[in-house]
Amino acid sequence: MKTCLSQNVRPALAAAWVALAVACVVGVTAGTVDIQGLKDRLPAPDGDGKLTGPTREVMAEIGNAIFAAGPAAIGAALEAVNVFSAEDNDYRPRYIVHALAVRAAGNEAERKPLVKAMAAYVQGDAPSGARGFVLQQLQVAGGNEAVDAVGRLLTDAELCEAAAQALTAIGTPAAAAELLNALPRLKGPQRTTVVQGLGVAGVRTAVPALLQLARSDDEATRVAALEALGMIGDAAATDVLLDAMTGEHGFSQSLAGNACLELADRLGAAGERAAALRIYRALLAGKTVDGAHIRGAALYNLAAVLGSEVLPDVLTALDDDNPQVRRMAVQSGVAMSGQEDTQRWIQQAKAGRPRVRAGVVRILGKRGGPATLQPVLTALKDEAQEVRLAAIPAAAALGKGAAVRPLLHFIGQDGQEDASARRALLHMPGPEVDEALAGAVAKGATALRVAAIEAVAERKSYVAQAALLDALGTANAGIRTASLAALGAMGNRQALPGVLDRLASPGGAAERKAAERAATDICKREGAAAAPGVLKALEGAGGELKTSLLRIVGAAGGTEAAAAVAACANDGVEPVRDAAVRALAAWPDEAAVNPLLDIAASTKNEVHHVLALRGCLQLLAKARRDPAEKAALLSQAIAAARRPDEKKQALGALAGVAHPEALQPVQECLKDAALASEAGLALTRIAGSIARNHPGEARKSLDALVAACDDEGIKAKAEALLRKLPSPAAK
Amino acid sequence: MNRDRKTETRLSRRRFIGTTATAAAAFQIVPRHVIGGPGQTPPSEKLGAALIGCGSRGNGTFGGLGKNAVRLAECDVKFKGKADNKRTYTDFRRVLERKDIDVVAIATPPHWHALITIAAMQAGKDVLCEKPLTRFIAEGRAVVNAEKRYGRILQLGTYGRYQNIRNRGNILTHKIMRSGLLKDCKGVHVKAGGLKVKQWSGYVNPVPQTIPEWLDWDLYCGPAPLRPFHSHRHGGTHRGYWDYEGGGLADMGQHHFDPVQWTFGKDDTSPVRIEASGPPADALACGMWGWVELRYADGFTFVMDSREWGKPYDRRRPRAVALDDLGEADRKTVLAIPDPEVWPDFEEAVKTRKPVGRAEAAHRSSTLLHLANIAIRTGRKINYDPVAEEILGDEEANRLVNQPMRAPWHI
Repeated sequence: MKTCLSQNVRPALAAAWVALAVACVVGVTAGTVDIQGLKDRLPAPDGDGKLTGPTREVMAEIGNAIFAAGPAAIGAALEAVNVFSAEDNDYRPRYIVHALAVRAAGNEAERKPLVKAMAAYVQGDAPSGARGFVLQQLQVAGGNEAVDAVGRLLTDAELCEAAAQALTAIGTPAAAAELLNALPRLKGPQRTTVVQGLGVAGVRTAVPALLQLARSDDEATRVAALEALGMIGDAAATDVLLDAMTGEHGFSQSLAGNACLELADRLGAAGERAAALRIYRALLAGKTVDGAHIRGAALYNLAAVLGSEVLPDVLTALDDDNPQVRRMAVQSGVAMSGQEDTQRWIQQAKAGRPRVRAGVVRILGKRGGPATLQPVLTALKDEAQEVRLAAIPAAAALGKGAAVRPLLHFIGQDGQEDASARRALLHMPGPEVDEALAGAVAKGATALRVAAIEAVAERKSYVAQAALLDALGTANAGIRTASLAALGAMGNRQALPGVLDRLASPGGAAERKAAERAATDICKREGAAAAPGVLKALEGAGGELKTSLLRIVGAAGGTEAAAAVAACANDGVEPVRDAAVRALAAWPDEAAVNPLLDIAASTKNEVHHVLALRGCLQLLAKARRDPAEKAALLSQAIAAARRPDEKKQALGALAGVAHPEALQPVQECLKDAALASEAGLALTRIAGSIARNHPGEARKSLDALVAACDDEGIKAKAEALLRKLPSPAAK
Repeated sequence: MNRDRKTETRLSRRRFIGTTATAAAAFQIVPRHVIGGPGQTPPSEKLGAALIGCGSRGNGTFGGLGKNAVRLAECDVKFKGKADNKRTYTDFRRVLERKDIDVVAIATPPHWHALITIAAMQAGKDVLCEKPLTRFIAEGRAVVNAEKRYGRILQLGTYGRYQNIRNRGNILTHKIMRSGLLKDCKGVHVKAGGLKVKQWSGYVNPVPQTIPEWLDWDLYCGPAPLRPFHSHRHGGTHRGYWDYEGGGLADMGQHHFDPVQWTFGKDDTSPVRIEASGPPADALACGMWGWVELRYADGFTFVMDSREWGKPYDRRRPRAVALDDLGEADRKTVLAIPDPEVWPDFEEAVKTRKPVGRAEAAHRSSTLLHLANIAIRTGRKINYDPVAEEILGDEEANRLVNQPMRAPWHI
C-alpha cells in the first residue's frame, strides 16, 4: 500500500514542482495570473489574418501557469473570453480556453476545476456569444459536473442549441436526464432541439412524451419526435411510426420511412423479433410506402431478422414486378447463412417462373460453395434466356474451371449471352480457369477454340502460351490467325521462334502478315532482348522473308541488331536494302544513329537519304547523350544534309543543345543566305542557354551574330542577350 | 511499359467484350421507375438530375453524372429570394421530394455532404457527392449504412482512383496488399506538400459582417453552429473552419489518399495509430500543422507531410511495396491473381445497379483525413479501432468522431 501510494504521489509531486517552477518564471502566484501577459505570448495573426503558431511548448507553459494558479486563474482566463464583435474580437483568450479544454481532457486534476469554472461561467452574465463559446468547450472536456448548469440553459433561446449539444457530447445518463427534464418547459425550435437530443442519446424514458409529440400539429416537432422514436427503438412507437407513413408527405415521409426502418432494425437487434417483423412486413407490403427502395430495404432487413425463415418472403419478392425489389431479394437470399440454406436454394433452382429461377441462380452464384456449381451449370442450359443470362455471371463468380467450356459455348451466340459470357471469361479468378482455357485452346470445335484463344489473350494467361504455339501448327487457318493475334498481345520472346516459323507459312499473305505483326508486337514489348532470336532467323534468309525479318528486328532495337541491319543496307537486293533503311529510320533506340548518318551521307538513293537523315534527327532529338557528343553528331547531320530544309531541321535540333560545341556548326550556317535566319535564331537560343556557365563563348558568338546579321529582329534578340551578360570588364 | 500498352491494343479488352456491348448495354438499362420513384414506367436512358450546391465546383460535379443526366433542378442557399421552387431552390428537401429526380450531384460545402447524401438515398435517389464525403467519422458510417439499407449508388467526386486502378504498377501493389501474404508490411507512402494548409486555413479574428440578402445563412450553417456571418466562412474559403470542413488536409487529402488507399488495399479498414506534429489548434479556424503519421495494423504507413510548418517529416523514408517483399511461392500466388474489376463510372453504375459498396471506400478515405485532424486538434497520439470505429482510451478525442449537430439535422 505504501509503495502504491508513493508510486501515485511521486509523479504528481514532480508535476507540481514543475508547475511551480514555470509559474515562477512567468510571474504567477497562487490564485492570480497575468492573463494579459499570457495573451501577449501568443502571436498576432499574420498579414492574411491567419495563425501560424504558437509552439506547443509556449502553450504548455501558459496552461501550466493557469492551472498552477488555481480556480481563480481559470476563472480569469474564462472572463477574458470575448464576444464576436468589431470592438472585442481578440482570438487569444478563446485560443487559450480551448487549449485548456483540450489539454485537460483525460487529466482529472485539471479537468475538474476547469469544468467547474466553465459551468459557473456559462450561468453568469457574460454575453451570450462568449457563453456559447464556453459551452462548446464543455463539449470538449465536460462531464457530469457540468450537466446541471448546462441543463438550465436549455430554456435559454440563444444558448439552448449549444447546451443541448454539450449534453449530447457528455452523453451520460445525468446529461440525458437534463434533456428530458427540460422537455415539458420548451416550445418551438428549442423543443425540437431537445427532442433530437433525446433521440440521439437513445433515452428510453422519453418515449411516452415523444409519442405525444409525434402527434403534434407542429410538423418540425412531430417529425423530430418520429425520428427520435426510431433512434430509441422502443416497440411502443410502432403504430405511431407506421401511421406516419400515410400521414406524412414529401420529405417528412422519407424521414418517417427511415425512422420505421431504424426502429425495426433496433428491435431486431434487441431480440424483439415479432415487433421488428411486423414493421418490415408492413413496409414490404407497400400499402403505405411510396418508394420501392423502402420496400427493398424492408425485405433486406427482414432477412437479417428471420434468417433461414425468410425464404418464402424472398421467393415472393423474386417475382415482384419491380426489379429493384427483386435485386434486394437476391441480396437477402445471399445474406441467409449456412449450408442448409444453400441446399434449400438449390432445391428452388428448378421451380417457379423464369424470373424466380433467374433470381435463385443469382443467389446461388453469389452464395458460392461447392454444391452450387452444378445447378448453376445446369441453368446455363435452361430453356429461358432470362435464366441463362443470370447463370453466366453466376458461373463466372463461382470461378471453377468446369464452367469454362460451358461459357465458351455462348461466344458467337445471341448478343446478350455472348457479351455476358465474354465479360465472365475475362474476370473469372483462379489458375484453374487459365488451365481450363489452355485446354480449350488445344481441342474442341473451332468456334470454341477461337473464343478460348481470345480469352487467354485478354486474360494474359501465360500458361496457355504453349497451347497457342501448338495451335499454330493446326490445319485450321482461323485458329492459326487467332493464335497469332493472341501471341502478339501477350507472348514473350520464347514464343518468337514459333511465330517466325509462320512467316514462311504456305497459309497465304494474310497469315504471313499476321505472323509479322505478332512478332513485331512481341519485339516491341520485349525490346533488345528479343533481337537475337530474330537475327538467328535472319541468317540465311532471303527474299520476302528477309525483308519481313528486318522489319521485325527493327521493332526490337539494340546495338547488335542495328549493326546487322546496317549491313543489309548495302545488300545487293533493292527490297532488302529498302527494308533495312526503313527499319533503321524507325529504330527505337540510339543504336541506329551512326548507321543512319553513314547512309544519309553516302547513299545515292534520295528516298533513303531523306529517311535516314530524318530518322537520325528524330533519334538525336530524344537522345540522352553528352551535349558535346550530341553537337558533334548534329554537326555531321548538317554536313550530310543535302537540302536547305534538311539543314534547317538539323539547326532546330542543335538549338536545343546547351553546349559551346553547338555554336561552331551554327556559325558556319550563318554564312549561307538560305539558312541565315534559322542559324541566327539557333545561335541566340544556344547562347542564351550557355550564358551562365560559358559567358565568354556566348558573348563572342553573339557579337559575331550582331556584326553579321541583317535580320533586325534576330539582331535585337542578340543585343538583348548581350546586355544581360556580365561585361568582360566586370570579370 | 508504354510499349507494352501499345501492343496490347490489337486484341484489347474493348475488342474482346465489345462485340456485343451495345446489345448488352441495352439489356442493362433499367426502367426509370427502378432508378427513381414509382409512377414512371417508360424505360428511358435519361436521368432526371438535380445539382445541389451551385458554387464554382457545381457544374464540374454535375458533369460526373454522365451525358444522360438532364438537369431539372438547381439548389443553393444563395438563391434566397430568387428560387421559384420549380427549377431553382434554396432548400434541398424540396428537391428530394420530386419524383422525377433520379440522381443528385452534391457540391455544397462538406458539412452538408453526408446529410444530403443520406437524405437523397432515403428518398430513393442515387448520389454523386463532392469530396470530402464527410466532416467527421460517424457521418461516414451513417452514409455506408444508408447505401446498404436503400441499395443506392454513391460515387465520390475524386476521379484519381479511376486512373490509379488502371496502372499496372498500382494493380500489382494492390494485389500484394490484398493477398494477405505480406505479414510485416514495411511500406510507407508519403504525401509531401500540396495539401494547401495555409491557403485553406481560417481567420482567427473574423469581424462579423452583415448577412447578404441573397443568402440563407441559417440554412447554410445547417448542422453547424449558427455563427455570426463572415464572407470568409462562405464561398470556397469555408474550408478553413472546423464547422464546415477540415482545412487543406480534408480538402486536398481525399484527392490524394482516396486513390492510394485503393492501391495499398485499405478500402475496408483504417489506421490504428495516428500521431501528428503541429501547434495547438484553434477552436474554430483550421490552422497550421507539420506532419501526420497514420499506421495500419499490418505496419503499412501513410504520411501527410505539409512542408508548411515546422521540420519536414523524417521518421521513416518512403518505401514501396514490391514483389521482392514476398517469398517465391507467394510471388507466384500474387501474380496468378486476376486483375480487379474496374468500377464503372457513375452513369453505368446507375444503369447496372452495381457495384454497391463504394461508400465504404469513400468513408475510409475520409476517415484518414478526420483521424489526422483529430490528432492535430488534440495534440495526442490516437489509437483507433477500425472495426468499432472509435478512439481507444481517449473519451474526449472520441467526441470528435461523432459530433452533435444543430437540430433538426442529425445522422
